[in-house]
Amino acid sequence: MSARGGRPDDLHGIYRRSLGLQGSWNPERMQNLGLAVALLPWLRRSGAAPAEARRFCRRHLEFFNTNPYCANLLLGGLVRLEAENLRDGATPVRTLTMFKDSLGRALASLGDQFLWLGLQPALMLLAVLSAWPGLVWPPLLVVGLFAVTQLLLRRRALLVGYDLGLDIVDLLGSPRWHRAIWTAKRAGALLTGVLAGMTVVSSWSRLGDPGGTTTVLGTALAMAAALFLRRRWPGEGLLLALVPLALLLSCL
Amino acid sequence: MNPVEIAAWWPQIAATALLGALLVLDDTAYAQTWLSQPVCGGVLAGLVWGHPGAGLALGLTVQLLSLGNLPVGQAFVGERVGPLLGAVGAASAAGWNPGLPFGGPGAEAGRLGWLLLAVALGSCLGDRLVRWERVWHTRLVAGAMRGLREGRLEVLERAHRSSLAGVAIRGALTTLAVWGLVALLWIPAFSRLPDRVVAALALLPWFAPAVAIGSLVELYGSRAGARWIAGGAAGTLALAWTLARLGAS
Repeated sequence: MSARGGRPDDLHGIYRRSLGLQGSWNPERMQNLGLAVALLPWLRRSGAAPAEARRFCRRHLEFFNTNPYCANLLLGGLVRLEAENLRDGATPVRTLTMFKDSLGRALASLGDQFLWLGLQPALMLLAVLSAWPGLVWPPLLVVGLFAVTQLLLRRRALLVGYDLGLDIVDLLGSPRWHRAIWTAKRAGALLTGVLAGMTVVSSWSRLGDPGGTTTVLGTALAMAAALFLRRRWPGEGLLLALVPLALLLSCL
Repeated sequence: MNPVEIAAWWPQIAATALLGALLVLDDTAYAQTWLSQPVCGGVLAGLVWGHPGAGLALGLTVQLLSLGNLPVGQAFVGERVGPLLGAVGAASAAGWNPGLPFGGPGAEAGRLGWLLLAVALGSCLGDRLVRWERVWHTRLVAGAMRGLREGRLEVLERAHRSSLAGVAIRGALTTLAVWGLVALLWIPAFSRLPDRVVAALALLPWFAPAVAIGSLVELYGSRAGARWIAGGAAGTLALAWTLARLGAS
């Protein structure tokens, strides 16, 4: 069961399955089935008795939700603790469950702050701005680089999680998390300013064209509407709601 | 577009449907590399049809619209991938090349606005489809848990594989359905639109950066964030002014 450095051989199988953690996301128990399926390669090779295997599955089919990009840290730790529990009962089931729940929540919070509220808007803004002059390849390059990096980091996180076990909790106290969140959000804010500047320059250059004034006025009104309504409206819905404004402006 | 013309496009249609399946999986279910984000998805679909510029024009505009849609909790997900890929494919098949967003005036911008409207409608309707799919996942999980009582671990894997297959099939079918609707109904309808409506449609691509800026200012708009936004805007305007002065001299 064990390979180099005491890590189980099945970590590669767990990694492949961990990428599909959200594949069966459901409103009741969220990522529970994804988690259980990701851990199955280890369970099969662990030699657990059928009754123990059923208890294992039931345990991991409870509610579970975390950030998918940070989940492998937790998965690695979970495999380590389950292996210890099966070997000599060193980790009680209650500790296992608490580890999964509390670490899952903490990683969800950190991961959402860093990835969804920080890195994703910043990176996609960078992709958009790099494509602004009509260049096709820069956005693919920017996002492709992120794709490869995150896949490698998720694999590394699984190994680190396995090596640390319960000590993963110490990692969460590191100030690096907060520095990364701060940097991603400030980069996003800076690029938002660049987008605003480029929009002003692009619309300004149209002022001399027929309908240019209407375009500038429409852009300003749409921005005001987005600022006013944002929390309640997704972008697509807001665009549909702005169609009457466009029709009104076209009559001017 | 008649059935003979559609038949001539079948390799591209099949490739777009396959791309739709893969990118929808990437969007919410597997790996989540962000290659399914509209700006990349649009370019990839454009490459399949030999018009990457058309894919970029629509993808970039949709990307701006969706920058503020954050997939946190049970928020609005939307279903942008299928409608975007279908619209890019149909536009390319019809010989529409919307060109650079925020560049061309008149009919080209009107066409981009018309396609943007189709994608926005498709995404809003698709959001409902995603929610149904997730309810179906709940049923699959419940079925797998019943199977587990009989000691069969493979029922869990089967349920998970069914979920992934369902997501991929949704992606392929949505892409095909949007391609068909846009190619056969939406694009032919454009020529019957009054000039005033076309002028209104030409404004829609301009609303996309405005919506993006509005949503992002709200996201980053704390006192500290506002300073960075103002700094970015001031730096860009200063650079543009300097470049214009250099160009003039």
